Amino acid sequence: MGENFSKLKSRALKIRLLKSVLAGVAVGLLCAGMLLLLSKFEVLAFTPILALAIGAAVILLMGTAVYFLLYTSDKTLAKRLDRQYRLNEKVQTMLAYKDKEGIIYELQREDADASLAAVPKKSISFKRLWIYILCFMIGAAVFTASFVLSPEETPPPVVPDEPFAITELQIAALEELIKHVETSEMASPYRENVAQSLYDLLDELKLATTESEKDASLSKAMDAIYEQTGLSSSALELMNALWSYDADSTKQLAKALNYYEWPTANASEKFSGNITDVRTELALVNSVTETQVLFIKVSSNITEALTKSKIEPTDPLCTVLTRLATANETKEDGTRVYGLSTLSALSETLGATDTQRELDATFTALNSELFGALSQHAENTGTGEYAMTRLSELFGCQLPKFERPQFYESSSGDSSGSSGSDEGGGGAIGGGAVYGSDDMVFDPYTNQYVEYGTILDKYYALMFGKLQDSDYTDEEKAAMEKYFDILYGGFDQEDEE
Amino acid sequence: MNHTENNTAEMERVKMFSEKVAKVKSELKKDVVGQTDIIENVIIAIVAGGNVLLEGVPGVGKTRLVRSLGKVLSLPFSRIQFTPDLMPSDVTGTNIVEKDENGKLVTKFRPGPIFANLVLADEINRATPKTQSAMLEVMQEHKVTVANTSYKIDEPFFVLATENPIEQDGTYPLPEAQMDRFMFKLIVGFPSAEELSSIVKMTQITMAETAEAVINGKEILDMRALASAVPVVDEVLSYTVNLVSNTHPELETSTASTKKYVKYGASPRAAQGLITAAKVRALMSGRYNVSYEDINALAYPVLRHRIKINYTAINDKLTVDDVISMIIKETKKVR
Repeated sequence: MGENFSKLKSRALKIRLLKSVLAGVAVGLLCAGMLLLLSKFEVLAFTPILALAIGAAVILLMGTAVYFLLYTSDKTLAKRLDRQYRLNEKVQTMLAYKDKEGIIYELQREDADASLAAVPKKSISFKRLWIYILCFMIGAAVFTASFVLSPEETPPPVVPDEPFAITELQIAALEELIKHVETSEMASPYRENVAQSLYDLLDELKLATTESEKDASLSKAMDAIYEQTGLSSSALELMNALWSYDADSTKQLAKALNYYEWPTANASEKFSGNITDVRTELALVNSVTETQVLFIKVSSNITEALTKSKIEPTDPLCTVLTRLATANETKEDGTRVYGLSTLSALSETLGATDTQRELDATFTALNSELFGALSQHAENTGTGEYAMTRLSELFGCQLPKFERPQFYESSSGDSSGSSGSDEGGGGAIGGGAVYGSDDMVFDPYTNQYVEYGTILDKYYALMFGKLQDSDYTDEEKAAMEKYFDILYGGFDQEDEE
Repeated sequence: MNHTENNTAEMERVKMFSEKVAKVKSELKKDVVGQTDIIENVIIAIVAGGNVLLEGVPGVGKTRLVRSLGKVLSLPFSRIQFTPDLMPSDVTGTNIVEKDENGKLVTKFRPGPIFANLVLADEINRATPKTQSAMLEVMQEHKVTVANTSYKIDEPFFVLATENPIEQDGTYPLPEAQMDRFMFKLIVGFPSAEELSSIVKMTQITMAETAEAVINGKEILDMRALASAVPVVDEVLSYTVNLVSNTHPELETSTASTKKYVKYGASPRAAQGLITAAKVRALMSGRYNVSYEDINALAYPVLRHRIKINYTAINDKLTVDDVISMIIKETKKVR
């Protein structure tokens, strides 16, 4: 084969290699760049390492594929050379008869080689090389862009700050709420603190001109009231501590302290019933020995729980429970108060019957003190939560999650503390979903907040009078009466509870 | 003779080929003004061993070319003027009865004018088909059979015939079989004004041909042998075969032009003739291989008398050469 043909073949091979590398790198860079961009813009999840690894694999695969795709046999190259440079099939003939001997064949080979020598070698095979270079540049550009570009930080949607101006009704309602707190039985200094927070809120809301300012003020007030409510309700931790013990009597005592379940109207009766349950639980043992063990156990549970909880030692609840656990008192009138540990020690001397009698006497003596101590906590919690609920109603702000004892959820099925379950005003905690008759609502006739039940009666009387005097159809009259029946029906449900 | 001596001899032949072709051309140009392509193709046919049919109006130098060629070739030359009353025996020769040395009557074959190396069949289409047919055997097989006896004609042997395309009265179109025996049909065109002027000037001096013999029969045979060794690559060979096949309208693979304009196509002799002539043309061009260009250039003289165009082509005012151009173009596309 001619020397010049070999040179051209070698050149074609080099260019084929160059094209393969360019094509492989172009597609690999494009692929890696696209993956990086897609992952940057969160269309696909690819780590940069994985994207680069895929790009490298594509470079190898594509390069190899293009190398084989661009494979040119000697025959094809000869054909191409003949056609491209109008060599009158000299190269093809040279190749076809390369092994033939004879003067004509030799002359033919010389002639073909001489013709190839005249071919401008630099022009050969570079045909369409620009396409590969262009592809490479595109790939490189995309790859570079994947590093340079970064997704624009999507600014949070600009919520136009709506103008805000507190209404007269809201001011009146807030002042009413402050008055309610100030006149409540909430313990000091929590009451004053909550009231001060509300005063501050009122001042800030009067000055607020935008919704964001209003929200900020409300949030601050809510946080402050929530904190004061928590601080004033340390009985909650005590209940949780008592609930954590194994003894059923201790658990029963924890439940008995749960003022969150007290109904509005007859909290005392409910409490008495719960205490009786504790008493009954303590009387379930048969022997003196068992009584001794149980009493000691419950006594130590109470003592430990008081220590574990954050309840102040001066808190009446702490005092009365300490007495229930360890008292050994004999009053001037001869009445005795024996705590559980004392009774445990005396039980052998007293015998089972007297022990139970002394236990009853103790519970009777401490009953009112315990109720009083718990009522204070109930008042604290109720006032704080009522204040937050009213703020939520008045200004539409989010209510925090009110805390409840651990066993509360299992016993009531609702620990959310949402406004729906805590509507009871004036310290009323828990209760049903019926809108309470003692809720304060605004009366547009008197421009004052009055109890819901009062205004309902008033409106019903007005409506009834109008129904009698006007030209309403029977159907319209029936609809209105039905509406009030539904409203009064709500009262009926609450009364029943 | 060893390998080196062989190569030297071969080189001499190659060298001689170019020289001889140049000399023949040069000598012919002394008597024939212009007509370069015709001279070129006639030389190709002679070296390739093919017969040539020259077609042209009277006075364009057909006969002069052939006569001049007869001189240049330094070969026994005979001229047969074809006329309607020419008999086959007038061409081939006949057995005559004569007395031998002993006075006995014996039959003796008297060769006709065909027994020459270069035969000029002037106005061949004026002879009757019967007489024309007498040429068939000799043109193809280079022998004459008379009374069951075959007489070999010395090589090289060529028939160069002429015909006039205008005068149709009293002419007999050559049968296809005979046409196929001609390797080339060359159309001798009317000379240009310049050429005509040169012709007039030249003939004022002398009407006789001035060309001199520069090549003999052996040398022509050597040249032929050399040309036959010129390599043809398979692709070119396939193209040649396709080109000839594409002239057949009955073949499904033939081109659209063929199907539309051709009545019947060329015989296998066309493909043989194309390749043989292309080898000579390549060597004459200083090349040692056959190219597509050789095939395309020779397709016209080789195919134009072998294919017959139909009425549609005539109606579309197309000549055979136009149709050949179309077939070449369409065959090139699938090359």
